[in-house]
Amino acid sequence: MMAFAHVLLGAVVMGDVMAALFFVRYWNRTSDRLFLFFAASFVADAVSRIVVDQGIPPFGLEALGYMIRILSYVFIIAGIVYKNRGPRTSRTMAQANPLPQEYIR
Amino acid sequence: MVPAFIYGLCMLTALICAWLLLQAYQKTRYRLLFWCSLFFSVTALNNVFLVVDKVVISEGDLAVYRYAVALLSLLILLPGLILERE
Amino acid sequence: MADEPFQRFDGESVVPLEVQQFVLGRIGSIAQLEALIMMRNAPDTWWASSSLAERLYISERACRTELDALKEQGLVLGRQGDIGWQFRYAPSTGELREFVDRLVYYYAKHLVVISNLIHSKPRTRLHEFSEAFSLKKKDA
Repeated sequence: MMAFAHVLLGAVVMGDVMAALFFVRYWNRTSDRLFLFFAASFVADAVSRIVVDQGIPPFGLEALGYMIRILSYVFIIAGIVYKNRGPRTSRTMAQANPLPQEYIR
Repeated sequence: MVPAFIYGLCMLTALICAWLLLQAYQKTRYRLLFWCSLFFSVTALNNVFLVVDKVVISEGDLAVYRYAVALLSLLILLPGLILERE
Repeated sequence: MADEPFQRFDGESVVPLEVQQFVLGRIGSIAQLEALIMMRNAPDTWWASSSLAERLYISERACRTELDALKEQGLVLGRQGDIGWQFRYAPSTGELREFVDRLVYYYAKHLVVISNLIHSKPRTRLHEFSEAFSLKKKDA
């Protein structure tokens, strides 16, 4: 049972990493920082799972690992807040600056 | 006492995420949002499961089941991400 | 200039509806519009995407994407030269040509209105996904 739990854990971590990579790709395509927040969320989740499993926090404070999981959800919330903060802060590329007047005929 | 609070916070933040995603999906009905909101909904449920596992059920550890649910949720999300036309 | 009205006081749109629809349907970004205008000014020239990128102050990769989009919409032609891709202003139908002419006229007259129109549309599925989280209402 214990060994199988580790197999599943490995698969979940890999899945998280894959999802994060896809969101990095989406960020690359659109330069929209929201996707970076999503990617960070999945990375944090992967890290939290490893931390919990390996008992990495000192004194076996497993709950500390779960705080990283809270961080992963906070990334999502923060990303959405960031999206709504202002017109220029999360605007996608190339549209923030109007082009010089002399190109207009 | 403190760990229980942390697990509860996990559940709460996961539920907030699920709610936000579901709202966005309801508003727009985009497919990518469907998969993401489904993923976060299952994740939120998994976190409820976490609280039950850690706080309510004191003996033993249902970790393997929680991992299985997490894996399942990713197996739902990933094809959605992969097959999405950008 | 920032408060230019979308409609005149009598309710008529400053820019005709069919031109608006043309913009929403065929023009994906300001960069595309500017590129189109530049190429239209010298319609017999094959423009290298690198030189267009330079004049638009965007990266060559971004420029290529925009020009490919214009090609998809039947507004320009592309060919692969020995130093890279080249594009030429070539609307595939007379109707498209006419729409571009009208669009250029209205863009010169009402820059902000046309710009806002272009900014209001999500360009890709990803952009749509991202915009779904935006709580603000886009102004007309």
